[in-house]
Amino acid sequence: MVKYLKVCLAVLAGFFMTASAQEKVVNVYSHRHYETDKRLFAQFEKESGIKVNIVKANADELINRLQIEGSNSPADILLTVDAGRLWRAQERGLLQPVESEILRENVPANLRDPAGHWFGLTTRARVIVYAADRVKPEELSTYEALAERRWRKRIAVRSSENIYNQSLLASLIANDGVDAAAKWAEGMVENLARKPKGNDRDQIKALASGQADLAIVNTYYLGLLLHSEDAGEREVASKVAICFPNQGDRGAHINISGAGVTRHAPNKDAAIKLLEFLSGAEAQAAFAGSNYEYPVNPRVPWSEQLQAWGEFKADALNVGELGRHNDEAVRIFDRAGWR
Amino acid sequence: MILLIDHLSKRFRQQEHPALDAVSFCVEAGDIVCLAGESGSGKTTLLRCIAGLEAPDSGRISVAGELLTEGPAVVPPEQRGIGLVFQDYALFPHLTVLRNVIFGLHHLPRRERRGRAREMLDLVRMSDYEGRYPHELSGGQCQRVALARAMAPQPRLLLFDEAFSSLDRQLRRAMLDSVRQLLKQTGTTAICVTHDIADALALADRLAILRQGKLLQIGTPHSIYDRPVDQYVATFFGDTNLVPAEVSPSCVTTDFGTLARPEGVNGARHAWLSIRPHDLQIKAAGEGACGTVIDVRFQGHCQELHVKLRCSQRRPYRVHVPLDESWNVGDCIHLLPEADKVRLLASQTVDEG
Amino acid sequence: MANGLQTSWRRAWSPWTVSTAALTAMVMAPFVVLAGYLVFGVAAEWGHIARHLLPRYIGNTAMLTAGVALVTLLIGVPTAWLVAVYDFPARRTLAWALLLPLAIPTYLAAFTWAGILDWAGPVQSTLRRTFPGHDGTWLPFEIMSMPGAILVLASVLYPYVYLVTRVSFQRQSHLVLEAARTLGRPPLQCFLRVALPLARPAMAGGVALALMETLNDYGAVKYYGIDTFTTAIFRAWFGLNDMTSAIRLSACLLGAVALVMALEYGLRGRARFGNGGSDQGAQRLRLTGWRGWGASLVCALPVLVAFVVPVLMLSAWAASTWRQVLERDFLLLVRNSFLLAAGAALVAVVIAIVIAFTVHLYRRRSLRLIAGAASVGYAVPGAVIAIGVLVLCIAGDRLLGRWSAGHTGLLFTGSVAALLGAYVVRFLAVGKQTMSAGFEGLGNRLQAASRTLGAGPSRTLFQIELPLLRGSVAAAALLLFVEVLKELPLTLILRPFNFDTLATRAYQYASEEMLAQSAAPALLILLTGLLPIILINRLSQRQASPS
Repeated sequence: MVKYLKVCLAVLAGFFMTASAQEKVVNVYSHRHYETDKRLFAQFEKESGIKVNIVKANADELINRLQIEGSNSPADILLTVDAGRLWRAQERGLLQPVESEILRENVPANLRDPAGHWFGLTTRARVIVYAADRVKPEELSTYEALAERRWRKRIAVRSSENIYNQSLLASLIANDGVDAAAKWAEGMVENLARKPKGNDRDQIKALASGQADLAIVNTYYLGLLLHSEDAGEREVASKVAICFPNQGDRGAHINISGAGVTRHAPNKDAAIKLLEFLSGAEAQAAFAGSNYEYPVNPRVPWSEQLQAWGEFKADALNVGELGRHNDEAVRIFDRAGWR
Repeated sequence: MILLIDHLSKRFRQQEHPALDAVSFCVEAGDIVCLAGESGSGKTTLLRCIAGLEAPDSGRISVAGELLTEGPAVVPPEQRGIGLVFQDYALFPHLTVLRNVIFGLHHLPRRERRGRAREMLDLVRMSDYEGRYPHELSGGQCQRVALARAMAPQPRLLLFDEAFSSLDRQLRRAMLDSVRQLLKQTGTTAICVTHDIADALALADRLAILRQGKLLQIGTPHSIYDRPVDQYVATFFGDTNLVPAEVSPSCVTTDFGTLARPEGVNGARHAWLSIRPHDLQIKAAGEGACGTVIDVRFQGHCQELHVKLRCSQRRPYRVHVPLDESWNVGDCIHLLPEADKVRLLASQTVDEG
Repeated sequence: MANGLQTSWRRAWSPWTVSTAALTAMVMAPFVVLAGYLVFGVAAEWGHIARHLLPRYIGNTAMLTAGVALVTLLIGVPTAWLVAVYDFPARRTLAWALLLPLAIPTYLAAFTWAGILDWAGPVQSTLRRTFPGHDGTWLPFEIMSMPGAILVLASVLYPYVYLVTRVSFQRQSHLVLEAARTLGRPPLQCFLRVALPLARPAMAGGVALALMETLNDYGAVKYYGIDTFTTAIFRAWFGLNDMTSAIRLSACLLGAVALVMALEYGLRGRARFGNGGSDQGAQRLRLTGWRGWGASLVCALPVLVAFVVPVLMLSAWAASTWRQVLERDFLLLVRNSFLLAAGAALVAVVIAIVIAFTVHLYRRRSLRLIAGAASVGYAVPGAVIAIGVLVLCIAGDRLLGRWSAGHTGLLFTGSVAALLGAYVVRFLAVGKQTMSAGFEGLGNRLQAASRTLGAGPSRTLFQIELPLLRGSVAAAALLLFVEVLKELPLTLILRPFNFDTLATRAYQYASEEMLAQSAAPALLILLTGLLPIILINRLSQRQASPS
């Protein structure tokens, strides 16, 4: 009787199970929603014969899912759009260290975990965008300077709910210390032209409409506006210019979109293969290019738009630090009233 | 004895009076019993308990020797073989007349159901309408279909819940007559609930009067009319004059003078007599109590005099006299109750309203 | 035993009560898991949340709900009164058109209105082109603000008030109009003195529905930069990395929803049991001339602003991007969405029928309470429910793994079945509410008739009550269908590998700030949402005027 039931179970399991063990697969939990990813994965499938399965959701939910699934988890790779979440997953013991010569070569040291728990795949810079007709580029210098009095009620920035803002403040904590960072947040709140709302595109639009003179945004949102289908959005982009801050000292704040191999990955080899593929020259061009992100691989040439914005000095801080200070950053935001 | 009800009690949450208060009675096979009482008297609850739609708190119900209810333990309604005709008919609106009747014939072999249903529709003279839907029928027609539907499974007991109250007066009389005829013809035992005493009299072999969950009296209409146990029954069932009386072992003293102590149970000194209006006899001067006619009303089969007694401050008494007697307002009249028709009522505060 | 006495104990354990208890237990299981987190978890950041977030979040939530309540009443009640009592040009069309905004999910309305009104949007672009020289903002009113959020939410939630109040007005219109004529009072006075107080329970019911949606909205308030209770939940969870606090906040939200429902119950008061009267013989007052057109305008305005304008905007976006979005897999998305929604609707309707019928059959207070508990999912954010479901799935898989020694995969986790189960947990209330109302409307006399004719509960259900409740079943199924179609957080977290729906695709674009690209799938969701609205309208009209 038990035997019979087991056979039934096996049949049922075969029917229901989403990832069958027979073929070569790699299972990805991804926070990235880009069309490019789909094309790259298809290319990887063709080249390697390994099928890529994807679940897309918010990184925090995926981390929770990984944790609850534990050793039963089918996931091989956790792919996020910021370093903080990778660090969080690592803290909870959800990732495993990976030894790969290729990855170590392709990804600069400050953009990966020293022990190999995770690797950056693209970088995004969070920069200052200004209304070209009202602000002179010489007035701008550092993130820290944005908290000065002369920018009172002139800055637009989105909610501190957003992970990119949390990471920015985390980098300030790492570089300047908690107290300076808290002061900075308070100064910024004074300088806000309006209550934080909307997304990064909306901040740029606020510059065009004259509601604010400066905005802090990720570069690729400006790229998306510049190449939008909508004439109005292109017009918005034409009215603003970009400034990479802190070029005189540590460099502009950058974050990564990156990935790590999960602790209980059933297809570890395939997972490493996929990461190596994504960090490779060919994939990097497409991975970063079509979304106006910067490739991590230093040997990959930048896309036209990135070159137009110009070279810049990036903060050499290990992006893992962003995760370490994330919770503190959120608490500072709350205390400062930066909603 | 087909139905036996033994100390049935039920109390609903947040209600002052119990819905049923130790009600006991029995019904013989073929009898038609009417449960009469005003709304809230518990008569519908009693009916629902018998049907198995409601479970009492305590007490038993058995039908043909089979225990159907014992306190909260009940046989579900579908296993009781008891039919119920509803006040608003409760015909199934999505089924035709014929299918409504067939619905209750599930226990018959499939091919016999249709024949049996047609037979029943014939009996209530509704065969011409078997393909109609309930909303295409008049109230009386619905009533007949509901009756056919309830009788079709040949229930051991048929219950009527205010089944005739929504018909107009003339239709109701005709309906009551034909229902009684039908019940007697098929030998069906029936219990019907009504608040209208005229309906009860038209249908019932026996009458049961309920008030605030208590069964006050049960018996033939005649016996209840003649010998009501208390003032409620006396006034509920027909018109009556309530007369205060001082009771002594052998006689009672009233507005009409001292009378021989009438029948009826009462140990109290102050009590009430019930005297029906036609039981007050008109006497010559010197006999009985003297009063003045203050109103004369035509009643159809008689005329009703309202008489104010000179020796009493109480409201006028009603007296029924033949139509051929001529009475005018202001006439002097002498009244005396017919001795053997007077009834001494069980001790209870009399509500004179 | 076929004819034996059923003791109350045995009666309590009929197949119906057993299945109701079992189903309720299944639906409640994820919440038991969550309660476990609540009790055993450590809410490390609770002090921080209580000190820095809660006061502001509670204040905002109160303001938002009060504002939405007020505006939905201001739009919903006058239009309901006009449609119920008067006759004017295009009344019949407007009567159902006023319900259309209900098809627009709140987050979609928020994004769309921001898109319409921002600097690059059609309004300001046109103004700039017409009056060159002024480059700044043209609008004195900022849509991404508290008043803006109130207006946007109310614009798609007022139909709840309109629908429920209209039914109430229709029921009493006869009476009110008679009074108006015999007393020589103008109708407006009768409206204020008689109709409005009589419709109070209905208005409270409609507002309660609108407020439930408001309390559960996350997308709109987040985008407009308003911290409400729901945003606090996600801030605690994602920002502060403290799931226990998030669950605790969800429990508070649940309490708030319970409070709204209790208030509604209290407001209904003794008026709960119908307000008598029917539509029979009611003659609508004819409005002619400018009054008639004025009434048309008043009723057309909400439809235009809340439905036509956003749909036009979405259509324009979709027209410019559909080539990009409509790939081959778009049909797959549609198939996934519809199968999932239909499956969940089917399962939930069946469960709703079983539970509602059992309550209807036994009319026990205890049973009613147990069944009521099964509705709790509607008041808890989907992402939080997902945690409970996930834990259960994993536990189930572990158990299976241990039992059939060789098997180590995941049977439940990440399966379509788990997703369906989660939808049922989340939305059962919708189906249960509809079916309970249906059974209540049926009363118990038909059941009693059927039972005394020898039919057991099952035969009664299948041959008498379900055929008569076809409308309710259809309404419940359609409402569930649309809810599942729109659902996002549960789907995101629980879906199997490589599984996309219309909602996840729309979200994918929207979260990357590609609103124009998200328009095509969003429009498809919206159009599907119109179906149940039309059906509900027909049902409610039938309800108001017994044939």
